[in-house]
Amino acid sequence: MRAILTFLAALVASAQAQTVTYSQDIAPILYANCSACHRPGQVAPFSLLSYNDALTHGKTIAATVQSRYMPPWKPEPGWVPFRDERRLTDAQIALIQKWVDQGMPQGDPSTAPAPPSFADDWQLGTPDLILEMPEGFNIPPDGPDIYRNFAIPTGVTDDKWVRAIELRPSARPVVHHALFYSDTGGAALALDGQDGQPGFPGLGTVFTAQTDPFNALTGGLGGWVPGTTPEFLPPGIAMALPANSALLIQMHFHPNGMPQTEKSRIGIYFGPKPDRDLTQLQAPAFFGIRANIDIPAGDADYKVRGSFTLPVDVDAVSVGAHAHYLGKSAKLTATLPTGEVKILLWIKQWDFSWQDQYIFKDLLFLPKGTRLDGEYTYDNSAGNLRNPFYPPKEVKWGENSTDEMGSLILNVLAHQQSDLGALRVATVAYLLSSVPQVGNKPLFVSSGVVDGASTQPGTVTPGKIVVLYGERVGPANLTSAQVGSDGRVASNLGGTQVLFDGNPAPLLYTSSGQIGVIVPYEVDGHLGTQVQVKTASGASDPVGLPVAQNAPSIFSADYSGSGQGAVLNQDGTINSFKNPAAKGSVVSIFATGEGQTLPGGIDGKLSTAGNLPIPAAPVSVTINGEKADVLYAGASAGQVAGVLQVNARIPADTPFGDIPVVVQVGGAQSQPGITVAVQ
Amino acid sequence: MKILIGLVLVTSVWGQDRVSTSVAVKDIHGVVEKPFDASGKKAAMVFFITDDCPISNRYAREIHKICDAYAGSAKCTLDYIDADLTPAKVEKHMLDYGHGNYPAVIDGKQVLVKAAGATVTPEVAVIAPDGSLAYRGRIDNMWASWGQSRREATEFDLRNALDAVIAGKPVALPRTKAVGCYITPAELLGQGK
Repeated sequence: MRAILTFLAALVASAQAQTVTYSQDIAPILYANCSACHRPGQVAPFSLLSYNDALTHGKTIAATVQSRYMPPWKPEPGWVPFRDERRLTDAQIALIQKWVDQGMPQGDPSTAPAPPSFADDWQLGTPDLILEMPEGFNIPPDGPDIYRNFAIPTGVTDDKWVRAIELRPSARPVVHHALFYSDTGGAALALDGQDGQPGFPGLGTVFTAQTDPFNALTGGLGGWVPGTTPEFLPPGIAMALPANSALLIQMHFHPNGMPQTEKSRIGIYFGPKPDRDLTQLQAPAFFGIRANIDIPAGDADYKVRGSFTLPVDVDAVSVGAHAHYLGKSAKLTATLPTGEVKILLWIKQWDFSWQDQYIFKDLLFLPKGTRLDGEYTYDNSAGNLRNPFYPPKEVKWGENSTDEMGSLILNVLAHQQSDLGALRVATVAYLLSSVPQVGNKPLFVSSGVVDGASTQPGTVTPGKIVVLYGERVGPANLTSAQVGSDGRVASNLGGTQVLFDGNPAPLLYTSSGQIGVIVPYEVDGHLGTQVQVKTASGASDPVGLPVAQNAPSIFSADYSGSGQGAVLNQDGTINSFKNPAAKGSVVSIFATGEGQTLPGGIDGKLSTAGNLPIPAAPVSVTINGEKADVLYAGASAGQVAGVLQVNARIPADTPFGDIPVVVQVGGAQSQPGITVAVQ
Repeated sequence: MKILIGLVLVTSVWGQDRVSTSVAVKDIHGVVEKPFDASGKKAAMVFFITDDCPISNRYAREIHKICDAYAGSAKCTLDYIDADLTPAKVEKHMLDYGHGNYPAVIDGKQVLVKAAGATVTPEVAVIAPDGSLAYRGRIDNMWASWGQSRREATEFDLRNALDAVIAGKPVALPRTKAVGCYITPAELLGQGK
């Protein structure tokens, strides 16, 4: 009994030593990331400005940040940095969870930061021009989201240059986002009010606005998303508002259970004529109008790709994406003439509710000859909750909300203003050209190339084992690897080849929807790689992937990419919770992505004892966060080049259970969530 | 300590499958109500709601529709789980969001919440006249998770449960997972006051 009490007391003491309190730990996170929307009169349904606020909603906060539903920020992190990223770190998310688990203590209120204060009036000072919707628009309490467009005459009689627009909705609880355009030809103004209510309906505003050639070229006047502080565009950059235009606003309303009336006020801030004009690039062009968007009913992974090569040097200012309800993922990749591949925007779970324009932290220089690839996938299955049709129907390109469209949008300045004409001519030519039909050729998108161990898309390394998912990429029947008399895994299998910068990759298996591939060592030193699948029916378009020197990932026992790792105990048996490894024993961990080896990797070569290449970069292992002795790191005898075996000793004080294990090669760490069973 | 643990265990077991129909609370007008008592009807419904959960608010009109549709056979009570609410605030909320003129209770100490085992808003409990907890969970399957709602519900779990209880038949799906805003337990809410 005494032992139990002592044990309990020790547990309590250790928990208290790491107590997370609202005042010290949680308030700063909420105030910096949440309160801008979670305060009275804003779009969020409850405030997060006090301990009591957080306490009342604590478990909801923990769960919504864990799933990254909140704060709303769709782009994948870690590629090109954006301004004002609204994203919590993994550590902040864990801290919030810990606080909830501990019962949400307040801590010492005198140490809490003061809640943030926000300007009630125009955030950027008095606007140069204030417009107001002439009449209020009624939003019902229930029902699906509403997209409504409003055209407001500006009274502006000479060309103006806009540095910022602030929207002040009257019905903040239901206004989800807004996009601004100039209506130079009066088409939108003519439509406004035609159905008896202010404005006119539809997601097709962009169509109406963009058929105005001016908007098609310049890209409009930005947008508004709740919770962001309006900011001026960087100095020297401004959006064009031509003389005698109306302001066209597309607003997205999300009913909240109570009838509302929206009568927006808009503040516009002008600046001097900028030295360089903004141009909008889209890939595919014009929201995919000629990109063969024709989505069969039930297709959960319909792929659309469009490519545009820059005719001149540009500086990219901001990036965005647009589609309708079936949009699933969006990605814009740039392949520079050096071969470097940059990911400019990557949204894995596209959500039409959170459409934002993401401004790069710094102007991004892209040289002439850079190829922009815009990729969209769509889910037209019954599994897509937002599908307008149940049961699903064929959906084609169109401007109604139940049609589809899609493009990745990049707003740029010509690096030299004198190149503006050439840039715009190329944009128009691209708009008028059709994306060639794919026909029977292989088709895949860059997110479809995933790490064979972690199952995550991203960078590739020389020798990495990856899985390529696509359509018509291989033979109907699963075909397994073949090893030639030279002891190398064949790179031509079942009529399929996968080329990385023209180098054929060893193939572990092929089938029509999925190929197991080992990235050739020839990409070593490349800043990016262009991947093509070739079959008897033809070659796919080249797909750009970033290349890293090292990006290790540990295989998992169940192929899920996390959980129990693919590990052998010292006696050669498979490590599992039923067959754990003893502390102090040596385990063999199997991984991939170590990069180049010494001697240099030979594509597809099966290693033999006495000829076991080792990674060129240093390898270390942590088990439970503690450095573990590495007795061996290199090729696994009899295995194909690209499989890394790491023999590490489990530290003597490792606790029992499923213990986190991480392999580091060079500066890169393997994926979180892999464990080894320890007894 | 041991006795307290025992009591907690007993009440939690009690709360899972049965409730006491005699539990009495005052509604926002000071009238004593017994929300779990079907009072001669075939079922008693208690809706666990609040005023600042977006999913709970979106269900207000549907709750009203269901209470109206089943008014002949089932009793309806609205259980506001937030102790910071006042009768005036609740009245305004019911009006603004179309909750309908059904008895409303401010369950600050979460007596009804705990007895029925509710964990989120909105969530509903259907109690048979004998006090058995015939159904607890979501109203329908409109919401898959936060930010993920269908255009229309396709499974109407509450209505199905009510139909079964009223017909004297077993409920096919007696427990479902409600999607909404978690209810912070009353004992934690006492901190900082």
